[in-house]
Amino acid sequence: MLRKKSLLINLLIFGLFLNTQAQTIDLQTKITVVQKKQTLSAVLNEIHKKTGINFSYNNADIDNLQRVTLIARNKPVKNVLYQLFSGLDINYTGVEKQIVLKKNQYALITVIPEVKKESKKYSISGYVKDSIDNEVLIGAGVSIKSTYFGAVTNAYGYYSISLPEGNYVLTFSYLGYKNKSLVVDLTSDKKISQFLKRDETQLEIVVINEEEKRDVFEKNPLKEINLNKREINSAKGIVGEADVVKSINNLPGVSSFGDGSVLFYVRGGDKDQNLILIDETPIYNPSHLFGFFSALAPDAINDIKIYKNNFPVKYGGRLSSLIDIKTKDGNMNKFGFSVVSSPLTGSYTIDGPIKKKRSSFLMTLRDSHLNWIWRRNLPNLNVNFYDFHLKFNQIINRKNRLYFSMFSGSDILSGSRQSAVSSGLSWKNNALSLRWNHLFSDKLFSNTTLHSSKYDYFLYYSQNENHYWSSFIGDVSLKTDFSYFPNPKNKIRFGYNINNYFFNPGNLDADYFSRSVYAGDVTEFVLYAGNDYSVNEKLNVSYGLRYVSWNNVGPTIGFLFDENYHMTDTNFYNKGIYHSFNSLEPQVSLSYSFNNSLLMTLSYDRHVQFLHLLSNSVSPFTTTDVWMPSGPVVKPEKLNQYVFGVTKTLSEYDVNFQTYYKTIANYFEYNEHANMLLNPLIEGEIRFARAKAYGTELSFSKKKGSFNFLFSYTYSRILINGNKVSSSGIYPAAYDKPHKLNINLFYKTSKRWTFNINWVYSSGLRYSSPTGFYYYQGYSVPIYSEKNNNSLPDYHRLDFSADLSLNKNKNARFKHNLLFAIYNIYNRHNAIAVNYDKIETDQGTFVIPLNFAYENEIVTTSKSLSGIIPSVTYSLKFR
Amino acid sequence: MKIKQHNSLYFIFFGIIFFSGISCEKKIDVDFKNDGKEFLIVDGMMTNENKNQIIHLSQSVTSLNSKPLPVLGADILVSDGIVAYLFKEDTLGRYVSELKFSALINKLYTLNIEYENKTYTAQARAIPVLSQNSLNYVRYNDSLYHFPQAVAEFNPNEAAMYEVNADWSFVSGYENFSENETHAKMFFYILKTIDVNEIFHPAYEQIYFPKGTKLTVKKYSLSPDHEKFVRSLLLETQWNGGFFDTEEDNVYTNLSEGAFGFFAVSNVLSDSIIVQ
Repeated sequence: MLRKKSLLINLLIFGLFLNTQAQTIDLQTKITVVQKKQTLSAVLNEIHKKTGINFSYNNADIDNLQRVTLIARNKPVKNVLYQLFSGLDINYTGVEKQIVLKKNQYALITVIPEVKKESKKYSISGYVKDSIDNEVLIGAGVSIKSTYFGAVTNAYGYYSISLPEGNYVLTFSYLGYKNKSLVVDLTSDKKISQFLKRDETQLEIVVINEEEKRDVFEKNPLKEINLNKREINSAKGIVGEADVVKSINNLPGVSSFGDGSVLFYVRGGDKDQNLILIDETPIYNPSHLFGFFSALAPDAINDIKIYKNNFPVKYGGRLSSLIDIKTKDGNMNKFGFSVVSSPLTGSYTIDGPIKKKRSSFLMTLRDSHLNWIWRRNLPNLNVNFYDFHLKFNQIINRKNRLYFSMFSGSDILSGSRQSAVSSGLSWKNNALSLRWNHLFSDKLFSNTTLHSSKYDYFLYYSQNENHYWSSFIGDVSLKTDFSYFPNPKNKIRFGYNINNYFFNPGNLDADYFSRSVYAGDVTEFVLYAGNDYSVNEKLNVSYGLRYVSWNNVGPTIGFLFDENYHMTDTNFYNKGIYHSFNSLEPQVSLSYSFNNSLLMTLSYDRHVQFLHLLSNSVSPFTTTDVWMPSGPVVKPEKLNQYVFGVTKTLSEYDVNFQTYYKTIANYFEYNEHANMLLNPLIEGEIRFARAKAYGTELSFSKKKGSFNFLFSYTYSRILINGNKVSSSGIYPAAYDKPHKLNINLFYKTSKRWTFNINWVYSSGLRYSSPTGFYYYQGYSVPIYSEKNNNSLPDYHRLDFSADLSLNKNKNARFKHNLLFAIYNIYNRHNAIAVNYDKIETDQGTFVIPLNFAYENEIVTTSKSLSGIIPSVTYSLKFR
Repeated sequence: MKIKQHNSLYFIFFGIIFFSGISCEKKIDVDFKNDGKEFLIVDGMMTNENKNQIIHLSQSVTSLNSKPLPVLGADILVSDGIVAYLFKEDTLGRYVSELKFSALINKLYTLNIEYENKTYTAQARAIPVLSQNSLNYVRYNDSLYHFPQAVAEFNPNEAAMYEVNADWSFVSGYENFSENETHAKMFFYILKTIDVNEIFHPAYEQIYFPKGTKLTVKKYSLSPDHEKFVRSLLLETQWNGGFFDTEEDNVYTNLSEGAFGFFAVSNVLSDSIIVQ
């Protein structure tokens, strides 16, 4: 603590020193000093040679023989001095043409702005927004100079902090924006909203100053990952289009299925264990065209936060991750539009004020060009998808604000080959939310959300006659979340959720067929509370507790099974609650800051998942989704997770390390060759297993300046103790891919070019490799002795994109860009499956044999989805 | 009610994938995790045809395309609870009942195999076969015909298997072709269940035959247990290898002691037609 305070004093002194001594010592002069493991004396001598600055110190105080390393290339003298002395516990101040060095001393603490301990406390609160389009900046830092207090804006750009009466320097910061500081004479409650300017050039290397580091607890990368717009836009889909889900896949701990798939797995969790929220509303299938595109148009998105453990206490219901997506509000000052045209899609966005500075709207439509492209070659094929975002927001007064959001996405794939009857697939996501922000006081913020979401899946076997198989899941929910800031040390969250879920777990069209597969409705009540408590400047404790009451509601029909999964009874449940679960989900996180750049976090969280996607598919694509609630037969999945992490900030670099261990009870496995479609006894196909997952994640990144990079490595395992063949009783999951390495490089030139290179490597997916074969009626049939005993070849891929701004004038109202992208630049055919049941035709294709009059020569084959794909995307923005 | 449009769905998906030119399938070498274990394989179906019933016994193989070794010297007995029918080894691995008999509907038949000091058993029961549904061939071009339907069709009211033997070795112009080029044996199924990878099945071999081909069609009833085996078999063979595969697992069997294959009892209808 002493050391930290001394460091603060250093800065204060140094600040004074800069103002008063600038004429005698030029601290802006840029110098290069490279001294590795040299004595302090030698390093000071080197600086003296390059600047003429003399250093004065007492040998009894300062150990000038201690070995130090200083590497600074073309940096201002002030930064070089800070870099050298901040790690040595040395104060420095300027006197005439010399710098006086002193050992840190507690007495100097009196220089800190005096805080009257008994004085009255006042609050500072407000919003932080983008100065151009007025979009709120979520997760912006608000730091108080020379204190360890700080705040981070919430999902609505709001912050609040309580401080004793006094004078303070507030600094507002956000990655990619210029910092803004102001002096506040705090003698009463203050409302201070700030508009930050974008740092368009990003050419200057931004030195992380003390103020930016002050919010080390609030913006803890070990607890949440914030994807900014550049990171979202730098992750490309297969045709060069920015892809939201792909941007998540680049993160450590997140494992993707592979090419052409929107499926992802977080820390060994299954694909249905990720909660994706758009403006507080869940989306159950974020994919278009089986998964080749994600259903979330990047142009509509303002901010994405990803949590892999210790979700904010208001969220739950999934075990592995929370993807919290907030859409843009729309510009309250002026109209704008943008158009993005890629080879396969077009995206059109318009936004602007309804009433200036009071209300705004934003509309984004993304539509595919697929029908237009394929009409000539496949005239009987109808392939199309779209997604549509609409948002209104209205400032009623300073204390009240309303948001209305709508998301609708749809896919249709249909066609016919030889008959007049057409078949097809279709799925739709629809979500609506109405949110009300209310300030009870400057210390108490609330958000009430009424939302509804529905996901429908159709499998048409005769579109002409409208015959289909369909499933759906829907919800209607009301929730209120309160944020209370009683003092600088505590940030309290509490609230409730009331959720109603309704299901169709897969039935033929009701006009012609009676329902055969049942699932009752569910009413869920959730209460939660949590606190983020800063014990002192080094220690922060976050803790929370959720109580969930899950109630299955009739009327419906249910089947009961014995221990051998044979159906024993049919229950006709009447209207009302017929089965309930209650669960408590605690979480706690301890963060210890050794200094402003080194943070350690230890956490535990428990989650229970009551909603399940029933699927025994090993396909990269989403198909025939059946969601089923926990009930008398289907047990809830339960997770306990322990995480230890360390993060270190080195100037403009960040290093993160995390290791985790988690256990999952009632992990979903399935009966051999489970019958998942149109099976009234589908619940009897589930086999409950135990699973454990563990791993380590490392990342090294630079997010500031013209050159950015991210290196990340993940080691992760997921092992199941279940019902499948295995000599040890424990086998890996199909998506158990132990190694993942990701390298992302970003470079913005001083001109108009931006370059991005992304290389990803991971272990191959696991599959069960036959240990023998037998022949039955001519069929060659595999025999398996070990579940998931083999791996597909390792996956790796290199992508490249170059973005050219077509404007010479950076301030032009019309801005347009050309994006040249190459997906899978070295044309690697990454296998998604291995098969051993096909024959090779004379044309060199591979087909399943149908003629059993003679022996067939079976070959082993592998399938891949994409080779090299070049693309050009044009985008136009008007503001 | 039958759902027949699966080929269209296959066409939709593969139209997208292949027309876009981004997918690829290639031949590879796979290191099968051979553990050296060998299993007894049983392939036997008793029918209501009054004949010497046949059961094939073989051993599993440890590599793809290996010739299976026949199982010699096994003692086989099939009993209906009252009468026991002995089987004797005919040719290598082929066992034939000493007496002709027809398997009766709803009667429980028990298979008993004694081999290398182990006793393998299985039980099966036949259900009636419904009247022959039409299995339509259609004209492919001016001179050739084929069966357009998928390998399996969904029918919630019936489960059955069609065995189709096609012979055009005697058709004018084909007399000098080899046997492999003038014969085909195909299986088609009607199942009460439907699966995703059945709908999005992989590409199939196309079999064309000329006008004048003799088609011998046998329709077998499938008991629930037999249907379960067939579905499981198709999941690991003819429905496997598309883009919507499900988890691999051993094919269901009604045999004990770790043997694979299936012992079935079925009712059968036969028909012969000449392609016109």
